[in-house]
Amino acid sequence: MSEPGFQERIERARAALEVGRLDEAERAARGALAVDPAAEEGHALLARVHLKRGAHAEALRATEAGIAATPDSEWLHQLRALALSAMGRGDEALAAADEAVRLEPELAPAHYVRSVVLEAMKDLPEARAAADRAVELDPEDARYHAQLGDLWLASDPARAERHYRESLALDPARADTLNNLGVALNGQKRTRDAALAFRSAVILDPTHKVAKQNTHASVRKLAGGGVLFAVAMGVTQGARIVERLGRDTSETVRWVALAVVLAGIAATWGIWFWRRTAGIRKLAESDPQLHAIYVRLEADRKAGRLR
Amino acid sequence: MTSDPVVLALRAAIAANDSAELRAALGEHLLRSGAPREALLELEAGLRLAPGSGPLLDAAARGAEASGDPGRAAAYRLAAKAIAGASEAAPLSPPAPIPAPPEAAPREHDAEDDLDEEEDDEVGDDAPARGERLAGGPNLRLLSSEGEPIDDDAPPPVAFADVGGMDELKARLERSFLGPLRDPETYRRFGKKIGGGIVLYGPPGCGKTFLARALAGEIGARFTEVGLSQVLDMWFGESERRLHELFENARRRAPTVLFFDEVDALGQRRSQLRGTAGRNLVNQLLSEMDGFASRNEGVFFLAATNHPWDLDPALRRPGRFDRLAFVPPPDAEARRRILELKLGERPVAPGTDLTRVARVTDGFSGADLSALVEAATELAIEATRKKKAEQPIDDGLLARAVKDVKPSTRAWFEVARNHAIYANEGGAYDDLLEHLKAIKLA
Repeated sequence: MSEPGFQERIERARAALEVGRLDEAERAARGALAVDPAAEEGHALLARVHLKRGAHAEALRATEAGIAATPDSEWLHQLRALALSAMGRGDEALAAADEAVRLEPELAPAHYVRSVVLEAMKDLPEARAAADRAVELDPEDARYHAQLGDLWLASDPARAERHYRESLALDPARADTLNNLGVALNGQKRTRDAALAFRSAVILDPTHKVAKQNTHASVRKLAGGGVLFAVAMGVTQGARIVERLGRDTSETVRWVALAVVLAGIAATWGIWFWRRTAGIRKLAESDPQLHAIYVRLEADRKAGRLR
Repeated sequence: MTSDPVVLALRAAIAANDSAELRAALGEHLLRSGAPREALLELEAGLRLAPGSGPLLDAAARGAEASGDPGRAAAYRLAAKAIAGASEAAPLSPPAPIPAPPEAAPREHDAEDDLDEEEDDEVGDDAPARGERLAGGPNLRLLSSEGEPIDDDAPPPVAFADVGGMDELKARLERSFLGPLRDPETYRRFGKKIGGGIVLYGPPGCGKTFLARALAGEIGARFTEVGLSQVLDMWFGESERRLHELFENARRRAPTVLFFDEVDALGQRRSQLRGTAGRNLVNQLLSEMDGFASRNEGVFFLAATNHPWDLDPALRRPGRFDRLAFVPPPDAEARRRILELKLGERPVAPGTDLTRVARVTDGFSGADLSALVEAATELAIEATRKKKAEQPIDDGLLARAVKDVKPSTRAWFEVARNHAIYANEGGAYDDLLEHLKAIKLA
């Protein structure tokens, strides 16, 4: 039996990485490096395996070993930037991302990585500029549009929504992007649309905890009664303060305040109960699928699985 | 007249298209059923079609012995030995002359043989070839890209009876997979379509591969296992051609079970794949499986995966892998049998209560039970060395080991429950959901 050659090992590592077989990918990448210790792709694949595992220090070591052999590899500088950024070493990460951009200024992934690093450093204007450049260079990559959406989400949900929609048009199977689209819609007070986006994210990736929490919260909001609930809570709190003040002055004021507190508590519970039953019942009629997911989410919440 | 549905189905298949493989399958089944004379008749008929077949000679020897004819058994053994010797000495040369079995006639070359020989001719003398003839009979071996034979052999020597416990699952597989193969007429009469494949899924280390082998053994079909290594090989080079060859080989050697281990690596959701190689591979797999109705007659598809939710939805359509079967961690009875097996050759104190150990290891996979036995063995060795007298494995040591080994299936169930609860389209995960309810996870 002949030993597999370098290219075969590289291909095998790439395939294993794609299908999530990280141990196999690591074995093949190390095998390739044993044949050619200076191979850029061998070091890069090994670093990607470590990054996927969340082993950032190992990823950094792999990239640095690769850069020592091929200092002009913009790919290895990108991976080094990601590893450093994940380790909280922002300035070094930015220097590595800058180096990747310097080596290949016309390559979209280098700008994208720079944007990710800048976002982690909270430099949003620069991060947006880098993501814009990535989109300009490669408008067909869904990740770059999603990155722009993330960068606009807090300050301009409508703009973020546009970027998320562009991203999903290119790749509709991105659960994170669907969830963030829901957040952008929620920020525009479009609760129903938001709930549907969250629900789609949950169906796409049922292990997505944040999307599940968001679906649950948005359905509750959708069920209505929120304003009345807030009023009842406000009245209760106010009466509690009056009761405290009335302790040293007037017995009558105190008793009236106490009665209001009790009535407020009862009203709050009543509204909560009404919201839960009537609102959710209405949802069951208007959107049975969303209702079915809510029922399961509620069961998970009660079992403490939604945290 | 026999009423055994397997015998009836195999006889019907022989009547339609006689072959040495079918005769061998029928002979093996009859041998297992305790009908050695009938078995011997079938095996001899098979030998008339394939005089040099090692597995047939071996089975015929067993059949003759069981029928009380030791002379004939010895003759078959001698022939099998001669053939094995010839293949070891010169695997590419024609088989050495062997003593002819009773009523044996020279085998005529058929179109399949010619095809195989053409393939042999294409490669150099010293290169391992696809479809290499090793022993003269229809013993084709499929070679991986590395020249290693893919795990592919005569019907596996295991059957459902060898799978401990899991009665419910076995009954379900009998209904949905084996039944239609054993008694196709009845299923057709009731309008049930016959065909398609089945995906066994469940936590790792719970015997999916063993169960697949038992299924193949049960229907007396050859078993070709395609593991992760072969699948990854298909990702590069002439990937589509390699996959096509794999199916063609299986078609030539029907009845056969084509078993894809870790099938999600081969048929992953195309939306999750960034490169084109993987997508092309999934497309090719879909197209090969679409030949089920016509060209895939006699090829049964089985697959196993820990992540059924990662499979491309197109693979789950009728005629392809259209059924999912959940393989749970071993039940108490299966755990007891696994423990018995693992402890087999080790010193065990008399009166050790394995039923009790099985009872307290709910949720343990086969691999976890192996770890438990290893832990108990280490404790026994330590005690033996301390006391300078043999300390066999006993209840106390096993109880201590149980505390050290934690069931590994829990993490899988935590992920699986999300899919079963939130993405159970068409009730695909109903059996998993039922199990989750039983273990109070849903």
